[in-house]
Amino acid sequence: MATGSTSTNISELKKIKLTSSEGTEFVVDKDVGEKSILLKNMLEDVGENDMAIPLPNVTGPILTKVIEYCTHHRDDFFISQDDDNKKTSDDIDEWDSEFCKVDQGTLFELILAANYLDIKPLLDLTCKTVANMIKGKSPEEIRKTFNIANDFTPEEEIQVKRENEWCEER
Amino acid sequence: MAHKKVRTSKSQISQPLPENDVFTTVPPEIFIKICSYLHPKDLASLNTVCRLFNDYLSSTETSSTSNAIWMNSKKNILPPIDISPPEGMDERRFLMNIYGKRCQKCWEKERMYISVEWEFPLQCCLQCRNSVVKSRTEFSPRVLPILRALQSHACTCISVSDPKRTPKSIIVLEYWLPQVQDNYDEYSQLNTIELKRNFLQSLKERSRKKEAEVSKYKSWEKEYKKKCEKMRIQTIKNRRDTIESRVREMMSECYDDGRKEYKWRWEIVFRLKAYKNALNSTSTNPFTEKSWKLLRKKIENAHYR
Repeated sequence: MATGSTSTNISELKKIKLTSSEGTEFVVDKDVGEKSILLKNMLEDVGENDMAIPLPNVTGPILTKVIEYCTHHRDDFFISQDDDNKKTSDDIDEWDSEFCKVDQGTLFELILAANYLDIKPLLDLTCKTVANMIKGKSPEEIRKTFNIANDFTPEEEIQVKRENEWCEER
Repeated sequence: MAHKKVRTSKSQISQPLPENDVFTTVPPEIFIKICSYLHPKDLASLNTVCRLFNDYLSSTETSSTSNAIWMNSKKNILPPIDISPPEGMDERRFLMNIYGKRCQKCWEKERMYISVEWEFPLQCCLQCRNSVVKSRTEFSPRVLPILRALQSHACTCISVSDPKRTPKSIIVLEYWLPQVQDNYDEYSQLNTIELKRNFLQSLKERSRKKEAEVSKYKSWEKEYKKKCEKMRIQTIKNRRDTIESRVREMMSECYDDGRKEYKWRWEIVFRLKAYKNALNSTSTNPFTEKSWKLLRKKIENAHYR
């Protein structure tokens, strides 16, 4: 307990610099930044350094959101979900669900950023959010939700539909 | 087995329609991850959305993406399916076998097979079955060596006694037609007796292996069905308990129609049709607040009429 809190104190003092794709510089606490496994590994490899870490795949607004998420969860220990268990997407808490109330472009960019920065809980959260937008919907409703064009020919569509009604009734 | 009907309304996002379709631009590994939270039913819907998703989800024989997605979804079924498909069968087909209710040849509704025939590569309705399954006597004598080699195993040969056609004591061997044909074609192209003999020998061995596999899946299926039944009974029981406790809770209060307060009388409630029907229902749907309101209204009306 004692050692845990001291290490938090020390890391709180340390700051790291990140640069978004547009070249904007962000300064964050080290422990917040280290929620990203990519950054954590990078910092371990590079050691003490004042240089800003360039993140060419992440835009400023997205990076702001990512930092917001990591700051809120800075004291959480992320327990990775056991892959063999049933995966549920019904366990999103209120803050997280509010956090995900963004336009779809942002949501999918967040997914990509979480994937790139290797922040598993954020990736889980955003993917669950998308899964919840799909659950229980008909193909037409899914198309509408995500603005996806139906690019089947009418004949193809009939065939595909037939082949996918097999688990409708239960 | 009932598909979970409760949807999270809290986490559902209300947002304006996207201007561009961004969903179809996600890399396959992200698509797999999103799908890992979905029930096979939802995957089947995604499958008919557009060509790209259909590609991701349907080409199970060639793509590891589809196989991974369908494999993950097995955990989201209740009770979860914890076994891999038999050799040569992809995950989607496997799920269709256990979970599906349609003929995999004509895809028609209402034409279901009764139990999965693990001996055969796909499940079909009786009508389609007649076009791909033949009994031994329907084959030309030329293919007899093949039939004999296949006989030891179950893969292409199934013993069925049809009470309409044959007395119970006679067992009819049935074969998967395309498989007999393929093997016969290969066999007839061999030009020495030695080669033919070796071919039949290896066919026999493969058959035995397959037979062991089939019996493994049969016993697994039996256990799985038991689990499903147990779960169904439990769900019904839970529903009944909920109804009972809600009614008891209601009866501890007084009924007030605005003019006068009435007391509930157990001996009347107990005999009400609405109450009895609700208790004896075999529905596995969750007993929601809405269902309770409806039931309460019915009981109130009948009780104070």
